[in-house]
Amino acid sequence: MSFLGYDPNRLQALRRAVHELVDEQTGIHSDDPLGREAAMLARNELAKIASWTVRIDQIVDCVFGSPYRPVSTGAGPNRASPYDATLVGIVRPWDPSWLLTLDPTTAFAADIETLGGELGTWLAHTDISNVVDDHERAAALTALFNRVAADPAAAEAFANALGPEGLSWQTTRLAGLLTAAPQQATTTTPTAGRFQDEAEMLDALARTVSTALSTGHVDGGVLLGSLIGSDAYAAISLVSRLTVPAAQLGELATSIWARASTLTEAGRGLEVLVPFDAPKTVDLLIALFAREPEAARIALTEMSDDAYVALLAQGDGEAIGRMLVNLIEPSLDQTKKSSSAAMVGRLLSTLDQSPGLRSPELVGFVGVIAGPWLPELVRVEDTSSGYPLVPIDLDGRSPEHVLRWLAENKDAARSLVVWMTAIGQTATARIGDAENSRAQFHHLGEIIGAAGEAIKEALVRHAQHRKDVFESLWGTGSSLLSNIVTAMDVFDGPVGIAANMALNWAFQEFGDKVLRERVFGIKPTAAVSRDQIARAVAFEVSMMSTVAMVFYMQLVEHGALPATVEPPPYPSGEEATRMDVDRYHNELAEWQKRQLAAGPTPLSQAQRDAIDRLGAAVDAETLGFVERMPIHQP
Amino acid sequence: MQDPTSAELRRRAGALRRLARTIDGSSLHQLPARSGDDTWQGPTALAFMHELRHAQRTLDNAMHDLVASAIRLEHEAHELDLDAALA
Repeated sequence: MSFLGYDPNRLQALRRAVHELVDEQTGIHSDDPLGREAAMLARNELAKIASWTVRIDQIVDCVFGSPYRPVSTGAGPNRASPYDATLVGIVRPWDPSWLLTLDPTTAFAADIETLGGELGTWLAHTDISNVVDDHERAAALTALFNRVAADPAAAEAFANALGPEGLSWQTTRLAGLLTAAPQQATTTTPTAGRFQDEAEMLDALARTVSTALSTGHVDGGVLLGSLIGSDAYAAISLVSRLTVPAAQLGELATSIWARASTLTEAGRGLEVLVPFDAPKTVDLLIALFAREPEAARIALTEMSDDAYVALLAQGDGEAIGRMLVNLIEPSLDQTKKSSSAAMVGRLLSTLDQSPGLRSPELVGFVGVIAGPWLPELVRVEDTSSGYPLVPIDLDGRSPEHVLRWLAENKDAARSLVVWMTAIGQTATARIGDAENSRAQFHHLGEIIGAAGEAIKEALVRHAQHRKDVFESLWGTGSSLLSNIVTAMDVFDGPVGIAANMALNWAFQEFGDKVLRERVFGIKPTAAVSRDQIARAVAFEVSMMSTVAMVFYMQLVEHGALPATVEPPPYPSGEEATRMDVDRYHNELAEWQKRQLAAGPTPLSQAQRDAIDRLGAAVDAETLGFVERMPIHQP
Repeated sequence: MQDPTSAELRRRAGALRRLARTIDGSSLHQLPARSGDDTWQGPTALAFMHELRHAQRTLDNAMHDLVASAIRLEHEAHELDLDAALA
């Protein structure tokens, strides 16, 4: 049993028109043998249609107990809801004269194209917040969306019936409902279920719009124009969910940001309702760009200077950097590389002209990733500090500047690990593409190797900077080690794996490329002088003590060790040059024994294990790496 | 039986054309506009529309058959007139 919706006045008019066919039948006859059959067929059809007056009377005069029983709309049992998506095309919540009856006829169902149009019309008149109040209704509407989205003709009919204004209205409603507590969408409370419904409905709406746009008969600029012009946050909420060609996505994103970036804080519509820690328009835009590099390539090229500056100023530096990492993959073809070079050039130029935009994360990105990969773009001078804004130079110029710059800009130094991890995550996510992963890590190794050249030269020439270096650049390493410690102790995921892989690369690059050839200035087969060995040992002790200290700090930071545990031995610069490896090893072993013995605060078994692990880590990460260096004594 | 005259054939053709015009002008053809989605929606409405479309096709076919028959009769009348003129 289904339902029948009708306008009583129009149905009465139809009944009168149908009844006129009764009189018409008498005028259709022919005595001519050539016309007799045609007249008879026409008369029969008129009679059949005329007989519908009986059924129409049953509807118009519907009473309880008849096949066409009247139905009330609204809440309560045995009533049809005007917001029930299963009744799309039958109920008309926006039309008070529209009546509803049960319908005993079930033989005919609307085709999907008609249904798409009906859904568009229904949505153009129905406040969707009435639907998402009820999980079953929301699920039914999402299911209907999905049916329509799967059929291009139906989706096109939907888009045409809904129209730009309707799409703008419904998207803004859904996005507005989602801003109320978007973070709850991933939890399991009853309230969160509603937000999950809204998110799924917005997804389904985006799928339907995407299908409509894919037909080529619906103009995306027109259909989405009203939405983009009314609320940028709602627009990006929908557009970021679309699956359309990159060119179209890039253009839509450009239009959205062109509008959003010119609005004042007070005039940002829905964005003012977004919770402080939830993604804003700019965050959703950058996330879209990170996910769709081709769209980003187009948008970042077409974007006006003002919009571009606004993006850098309002966006999160780390997120922008991650987005850009995707755009400068070394595996890109030459055309895209040129495009990427232009984009990085624009970034450098903009940062050069607007020092206020130089967040540590962005500077770190430029220096560590963009600089080495695009050496032709390096050496944008940072006049405020006197040091290159782009610190890493593949030609090996100004290594002391690099070192001092990183020592003085700890945040930028730390951002190095962010980019290394970002690349590691990207590579890990694409682990099925082995060739691409190798290229990614080769790229990473080159970067770290280039950084290492600068570091080691300054280490050798300016031993007094060692402590600063360790605290800043090796602090970067400590973040990597931290990831490993965290991965071992707490998490098991791509971050730890990527960090481990990046660390291995760093050690490989330092060991084979930097230390062997540059620090010690020797070829693998060459004999080394006593002085060279002394320098090597000093470096080795420095590294061992740093690794031990870094592990200690991380273990304390993560709560694996109490802060009352004394730090491991950490010889100063001069002390380190006099200390040999065996002596440091002995001092470290003594330190371990002291901690494992009963101290002022007894250690738990887990804490004792952590101290054991620290010793093992020093051996594995330091000695193992040094052993790989082919140093031959004379 | 006496052969029909050309005038007789043209009279019959005329009657068939009038009938075709009557069928073509039936108010049945105006019903789709009156029975669309603004009037009613649901399975019964779809069933009515289905029958209505079938009826329209039947009426259209009947109308075209009548016109074709009229043309054939008019052609025969023309042939008769031509034969008479040649004789």
